[in-house]
Amino acid sequence: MRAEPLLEVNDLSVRFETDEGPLLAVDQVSFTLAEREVLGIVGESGCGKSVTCMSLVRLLPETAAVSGSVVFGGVDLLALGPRRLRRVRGNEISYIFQEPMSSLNPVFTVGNQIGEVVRRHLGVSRRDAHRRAVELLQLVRIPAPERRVDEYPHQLSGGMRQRVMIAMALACDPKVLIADEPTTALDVTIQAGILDLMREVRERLGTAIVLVTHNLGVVADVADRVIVMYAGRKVEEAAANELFAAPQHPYTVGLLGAIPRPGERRERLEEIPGRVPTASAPLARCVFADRCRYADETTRTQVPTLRTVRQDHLVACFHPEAERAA
Amino acid sequence: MSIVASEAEVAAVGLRRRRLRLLRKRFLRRPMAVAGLVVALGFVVVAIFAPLLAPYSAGHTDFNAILAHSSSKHLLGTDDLGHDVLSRLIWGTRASMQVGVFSTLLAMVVAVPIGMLAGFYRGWVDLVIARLTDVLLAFPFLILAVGLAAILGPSLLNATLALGIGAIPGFIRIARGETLALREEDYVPAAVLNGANDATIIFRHILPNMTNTLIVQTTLTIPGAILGEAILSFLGLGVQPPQSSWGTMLQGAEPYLTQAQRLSVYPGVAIILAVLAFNVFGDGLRDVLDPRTTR
Repeated sequence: MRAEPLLEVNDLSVRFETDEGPLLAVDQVSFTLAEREVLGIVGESGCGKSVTCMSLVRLLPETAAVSGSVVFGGVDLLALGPRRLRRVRGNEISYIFQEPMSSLNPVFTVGNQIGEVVRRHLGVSRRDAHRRAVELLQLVRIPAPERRVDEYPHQLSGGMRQRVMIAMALACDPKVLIADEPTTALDVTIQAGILDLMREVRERLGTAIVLVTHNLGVVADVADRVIVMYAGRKVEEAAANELFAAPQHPYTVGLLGAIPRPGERRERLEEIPGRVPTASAPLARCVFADRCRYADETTRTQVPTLRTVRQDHLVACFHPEAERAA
Repeated sequence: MSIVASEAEVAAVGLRRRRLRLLRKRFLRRPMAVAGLVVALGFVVVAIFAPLLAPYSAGHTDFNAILAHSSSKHLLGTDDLGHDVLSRLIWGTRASMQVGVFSTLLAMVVAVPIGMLAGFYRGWVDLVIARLTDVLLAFPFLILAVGLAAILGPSLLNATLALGIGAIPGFIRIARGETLALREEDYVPAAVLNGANDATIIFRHILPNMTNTLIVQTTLTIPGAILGEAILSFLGLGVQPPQSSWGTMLQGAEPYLTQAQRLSVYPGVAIILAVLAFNVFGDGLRDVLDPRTTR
């Protein structure tokens, strides 16, 4: 029996009012996050994965219309007042951005900035906050933390800065850490280090992590469970091993086919033809229909609902792999 | 633990000192800026120590020496009323610096919060403030100041107020523009997601990042105010005799342009030097503080 989820997202939809009319960025996405779990959200640019994460902590601009609910600790974050929301942000739910180079304020030392978060949420003295900052830098494996703590952001490399961002995110022992493409802006070798660190954070602190990425390798590396998003919808969800072993949605199959593998010489990588559709209202068809090689009349006229096709494996498709093979 | 902390503190101090040293080095490489700083500081020192430096009071008249040439008693001669020109120049420096510095400070203190509010909260607040600023900016700075001084009545304080108010729209625009740009920096949403409230965002994440721009705007507004004060006083809207200012000296010298040009030359040179010095210093400072300059 599964334990009570830490974070529960129900029917989350996000619509933006743009100059070209409304744009549906997220279409009725639901998922849960268990304690100590690493949940990967994958999808290509513009599929709504970042918008989903931002709406969890209400970072979207006012032009965004968000509906649904995000239940955390028994309360709906989407209905929380500003004061209580600030107590959650950075304290119980932390967020790491894609851009470590510019996410730190250039005029304060990193210790000062980490300390700011500690002091705000835990109300400790300046001295204790400084001590905690050193501890945190040590935790994220920055060498010579006593020295680094008093350095300015421009003195640190990109990887170090991302470590500082992680340290800041962990400052108050959050229950949930949302990492929006934390490694995208970094070198491959640095990426591996950051991923190791995230894994370690989960092991040692028990923090549940939502990891957003377009890199399937990253997901395979650290995630327990994976959600595949396409054009604002959740199209597939499964345990990481299961997903990679038996992908069900043609889109997921296509994504996996597009990964180059060493030792396998091919002239051209598999690609998914066509483009991602954008919609102003929920489409009354499968969002992937235009690009799907199995598309038929049903796909073009009905919305596929999420259903279980294998154990703990949800997919929104009329023709999942499992049924085609059979 | 305490040893570690103190070491860290030492390192931090060293770091700040290193940055200052770098800035100083870059500043010293600009001879014009350095000259500007020296001259500007000279004026400020004269203004502060005017009572010690001036041989006579501003209103002292020597009826034995009317329109006299330089002498040991009156180093720069006297004007038509027997005032010692050197003394009046020195007291005039005080008036100019006072007006220059305080009107600029006034403008900054009033305008920066307004501009930041407009830039940060956007919406109709911004719309009203920005359009109002545009309207005020449509009036030339001096016309605005002259109009205000005429309404307020002539005095040193009112000249300061008029010039300060005249400089407000420019400051608002700068503060608003900087805020608009800085609120889009990645560290702002990062701070929001760490639970920062609006006050923290504004005072910790936006204001400190625009200090360079504000410093430069300040050093460039001061000379404008100095010139403005001279003009207001020349027009009789500023400092009133027997108090001295470079503008009133010019005004008094005007009837004697053919007989005693030196009476116009001394205050004229003082105005040019002061304005130029602050401008050149401000330019240099801008170059030094702008991280994009490579020299």
